[in-house]
Amino acid sequence: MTPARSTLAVVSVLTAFTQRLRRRSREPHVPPRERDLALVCHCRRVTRATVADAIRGGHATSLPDIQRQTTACTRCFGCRFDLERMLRGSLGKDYTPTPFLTRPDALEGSVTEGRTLPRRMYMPIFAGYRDHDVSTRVVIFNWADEADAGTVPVKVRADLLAMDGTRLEVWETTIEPRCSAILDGREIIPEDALEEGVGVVKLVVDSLSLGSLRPYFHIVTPTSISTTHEKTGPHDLDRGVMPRRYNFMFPIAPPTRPEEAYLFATNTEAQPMEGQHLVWRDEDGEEESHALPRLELDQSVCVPLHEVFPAIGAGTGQGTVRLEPALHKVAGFMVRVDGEAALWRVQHL
Amino acid sequence: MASAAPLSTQPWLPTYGWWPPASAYVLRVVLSPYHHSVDPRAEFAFTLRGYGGAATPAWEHEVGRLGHGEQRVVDLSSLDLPAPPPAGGVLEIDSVRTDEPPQQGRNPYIGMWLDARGPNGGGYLIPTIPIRGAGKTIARDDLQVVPGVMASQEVETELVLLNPVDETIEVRLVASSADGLASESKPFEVAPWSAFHEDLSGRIPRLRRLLAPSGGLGSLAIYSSHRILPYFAFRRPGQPIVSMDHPAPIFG
Repeated sequence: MTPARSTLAVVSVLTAFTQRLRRRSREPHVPPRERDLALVCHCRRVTRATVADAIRGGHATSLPDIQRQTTACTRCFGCRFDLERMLRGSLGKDYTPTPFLTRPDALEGSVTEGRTLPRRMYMPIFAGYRDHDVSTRVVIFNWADEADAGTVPVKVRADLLAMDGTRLEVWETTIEPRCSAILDGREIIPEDALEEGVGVVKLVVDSLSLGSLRPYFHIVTPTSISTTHEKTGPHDLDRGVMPRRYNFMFPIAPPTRPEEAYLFATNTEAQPMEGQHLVWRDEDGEEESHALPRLELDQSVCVPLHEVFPAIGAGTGQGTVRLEPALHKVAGFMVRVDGEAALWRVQHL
Repeated sequence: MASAAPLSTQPWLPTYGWWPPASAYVLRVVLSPYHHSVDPRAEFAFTLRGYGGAATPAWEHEVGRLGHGEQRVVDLSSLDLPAPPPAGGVLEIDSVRTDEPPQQGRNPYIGMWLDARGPNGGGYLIPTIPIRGAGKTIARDDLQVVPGVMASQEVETELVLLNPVDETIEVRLVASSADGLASESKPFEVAPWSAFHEDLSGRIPRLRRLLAPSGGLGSLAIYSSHRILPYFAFRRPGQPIVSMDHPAPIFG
């Protein structure tokens, strides 16, 4: 065994700051002044108090106003739903939601170049989903060797999102070269934080060069550990949704044991995902369609394919389930569950 | 006599996956155009080949031509194939779009999906990937990483390395704990057109001890003298693996 570095920076999954933040967010008796100091925009380090002042002072009646006045919500857009809640709370029915996010010209990325965004990487999080004994962890590896001179510690932030995009928790850490960060859902997700036991981790990486920083996640049950990597959102928010050249697709071969099949998808684009369908097509060309709900940026859906497409549920069909029309870039995953043996199988689309 | 997908006469690169021992998995190849194109005029031709240590395929199965919208699920157990070597072999999916060549700026390959099922459940579902003939499009051709490998009494990492080229590939594995301590394997070789399949702790000295402080978790760097196609999976004692994934290339 060879020490890789004399100075070992053991990655702390939760910083002291994060712990304080989490305590605040769950304790209703926290004094208002202290609560106002909490960050709402972790990219730009904008506090709730700053945003509240802008709203109270009449300078901000919309999300674009907040962006221009405070710089909040101009990088990863993870605070969008928080800010809308604040606007709605102050303005009531006078508040008109913005159809979709844009970014003021004056606020280009400070870490990334031009108008590109920080890396946003999405992974599903299962924690007791449908009463299964299942949990999730995320591993990020900052590999560097002799050929990577100049590799530096990398700051990452992970947001735990509910399926409706609401941010529930924030974790920040710095990963030293050659070290790995491990976010274990059993330790960091508060009990009952995820309704129905499913959510999303959105990783925001402050690095122009991704290098080896591609997180993988593990779905853990008493009998199995399944793994695959994240799916990344588009770098350029302003490009708009463009027709894709291929469909996101879930291949289906008949199972040898009874199993459930789920398609998990997060909208990673600023424009809402509307009018999308899952289309099951078997080898004989027979098709069935299932409409997806409208999904805004960072909102997710987990569709039980074995329930909406009877042939998949019966284990008799073979073919594919695809997302139509081929437009949005989703972070998509397929999950299959052999409930009796507690065997979970995950793969990115 | 069958031969490997010709790189000089067709513009589409073949893709590869593991041809596992038939006693371990029932392998189905899902051939579908939707993973490549939304063009209803697109037409495809598919041929499957298996390799067991030689550039000449041990078997070949011509699926034929499919129009856009047509799909096939080919069950290898129905093809009366010879057995691969004990570590498995290399499966070649030769997917060619017959109505047009690859477009500028698009990947010149058409990946398909492998769905493998174990006799006691589990298995893996994985897309096929080009290696042979693929141009350099990533920052490091000699290195791929696996964030999150495991070695403990409760979990073992299985490693599959596929060599679908005509030269022997030398491989070196470097595992590191969460806090950056490292241990590495002796260099070893994967013969041309062959598969390597072993437990990670059998190759890297004292791996379980290295990873113990972080709950049996760490990460892995895979160095290779030529771009290689690795897969990894986790296995609990007495249980099947439930997925396989590829490592992360080093992006620029």
